[in-house]
Order: sequence, then structure tokens, then C-alpha cells
Amino acid sequence: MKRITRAEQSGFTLAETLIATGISTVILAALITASIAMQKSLNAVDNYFATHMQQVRIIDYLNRDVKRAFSVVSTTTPQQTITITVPNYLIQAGDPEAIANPQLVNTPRDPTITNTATGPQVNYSPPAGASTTTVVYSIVNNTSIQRTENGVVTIIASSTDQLLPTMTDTELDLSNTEFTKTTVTFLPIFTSGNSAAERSGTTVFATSYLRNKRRG
Amino acid sequence: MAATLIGVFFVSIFELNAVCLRYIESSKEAVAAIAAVQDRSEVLRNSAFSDLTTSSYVQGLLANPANASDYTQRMTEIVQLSAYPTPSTPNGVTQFTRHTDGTVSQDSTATDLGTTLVKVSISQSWTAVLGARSRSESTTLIIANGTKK
Repeated sequence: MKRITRAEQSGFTLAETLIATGISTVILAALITASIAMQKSLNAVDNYFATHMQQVRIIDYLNRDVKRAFSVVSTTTPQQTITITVPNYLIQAGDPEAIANPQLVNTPRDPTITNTATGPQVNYSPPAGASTTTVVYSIVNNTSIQRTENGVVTIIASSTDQLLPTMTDTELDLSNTEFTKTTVTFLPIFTSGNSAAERSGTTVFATSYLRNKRRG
Repeated sequence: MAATLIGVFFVSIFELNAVCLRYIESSKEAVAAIAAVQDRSEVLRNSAFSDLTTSSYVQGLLANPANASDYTQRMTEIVQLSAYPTPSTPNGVTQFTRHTDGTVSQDSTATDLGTTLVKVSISQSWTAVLGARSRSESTTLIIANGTKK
């Protein structure tokens, strides 16, 4: 019969256990911290892309309206509001064409073409009634950007990242705005302290010419 | 063994984070390229036809980047013009290249760009941050002579 010695029965000493527990705790803490950091990082990337897509959408909306505009006026106080006047390309309720045939509401109007001394002029205005529509872009509560056309409000971007579109109307040799330069920036939720640099790093640029002001 | 595993884990986390940052950067480059192509096409489309078919005018136009974006200034831009629908012979294309250092070279000159329609091709190319892949964004448009409204 084999005799069991004390050495074979012995476990870890208290010091060994304390050291092992300490190392495990440090490793676990690092793992948890890393996991949280990863989760935050993924959340920031997700948020960045979501807002980035909204930048593109704002540019898209603005460019579409500017290209078909007669004029663009922007104010910078207290926050930028952009007012765009566009011809009534679509038949509206109350227009003579709509009164004659209500099914024509919101369909494109056939333009009239008049030959003038300076060349043909295309006119989209209705025979009577309002000849232009006003589209207004404004920032609401620093969190969303809305577009208003004929009283219809559309939220075109909404984010907690402080989206900020800035438009400059540029005049050359014509009396009204000829083209616009637009930038859209936002402040990412994950910043390293220098918010101005973080914001400028997100800038998306666009240039748009007013088709109704174009030369030959 | 355990130490190695932990080391690999942390290196993986940092690399994954770095890949995410490069992915964002690449996305910004792509959007900047789309914007640059659109901005350049707007300016060319708005030019008077006589200016558009004058090499020195287009070369002067390209001396400035399509927009103020830092990304745009790091891209190589190529603008080609040719008469439409039939390019002139023997040389049909006028081509300009805007290099990353801002210089503009005229690579070829069309024999004739015509007086009615011109085809304009605009291309922006760059090396993406993610994977150092060659990327390009381009568009082609037909611009007519006359009052454009």
C-alpha cells in the first residue's frame, strides 16, 4: 500500500492564489474595457456613416432645387435659412389647367416658347395665377433640417450630430445669384477634443449653377 | 500560451479599429470624388461654348481644383473633350490632366471640336486608403452650343 505524503496533498499557497487572482482581475478588466471601447467605436462608425449619408441627401435636395431656381437668397442669422424661388413647373390646384381638368394637378406643365430678339424664351408659368413657388430650407433645434414647399414640410435630415449646411450665393456679372457653393458639416459623436477640426474634417462640398441663369 | 492569446486578442482589436478608421476615410474619398466630378461638370456645362472649345480656357479652369476639399486636391483629374457625335480626324480628343501637385498638362489636342455639340468626359482617380486600391470616378456629358436654359 502506497503511503500518501503531505507534498502530494498540498494545494496553492495563499500568495500564489492572490497573485493568480490579481493577474486574472487585471486581464478581465482589460478585456471588459476593450469590449466597451470596441462597442463605442462600432457605434461611432455606424453613427458617422448614418450622418454622412444625410450630408449627401441634403446636398442632393439643395442641388436639385438650386438647379431649377430663378433665384437663391440665404440669411445667416440666427442660423442659415435658404430661400429658393423656382418656376411652377407642375400644375397646381387652382391653375387654369387644373380647373379645366383636375387630373392634371401635379403633372408637368407644357412650357410655352416665345421667339424674341435675343433668341427663344421658354416659359413655365401658368397662363394665370402664381408663377413661382418658394422653397425654404431651415435648421430646426440644431437637430434637423427641414424643407418647406407650398406649406408642405419635409424633414430631409435629422441627427444628433449637429448637421450644419452652409450655402454661399455667388454673383458674377448677372444681377442675381448665378451659382451656389454649399458645404455640409457635422460634429461626430466621437471626438478627441478639437471639435472645430473634427467638424471641418467631415465637410462635403457641392457647386450648383442656376439653369435659368445660364449663358450660351 | 495564454499570454500569446491575450496579445493576439488585443492586436486584433486595435487592427479592427484601424480598419474601421480606414474604411471611413475611404468612404470620404469616394464621396469627395463623386462631388468633385459633379462640381467640375457643373462648371464646364455652364461655360460658354466658345470657351469650352478653347484649350487655354479649359486649361486655366483646371488650374483650380474642382472644389475646396482636401481629398479632391489629392486626386488626379482627367478631362477629355471631343466633337459629338463624330470626333474629328486624325486626332479626335483634347485631353487635359490635372496632377496631384496642381499642375495641368495638355496631353492631346483635337483637330476640331466642332461648333454644335461637344462630348466631355471627366474622371477623378486616386489610391484608396483602404487596401491602397486604385479607384476612379467618372462621368460623361454632352454639351450643346446655344442659350442653355
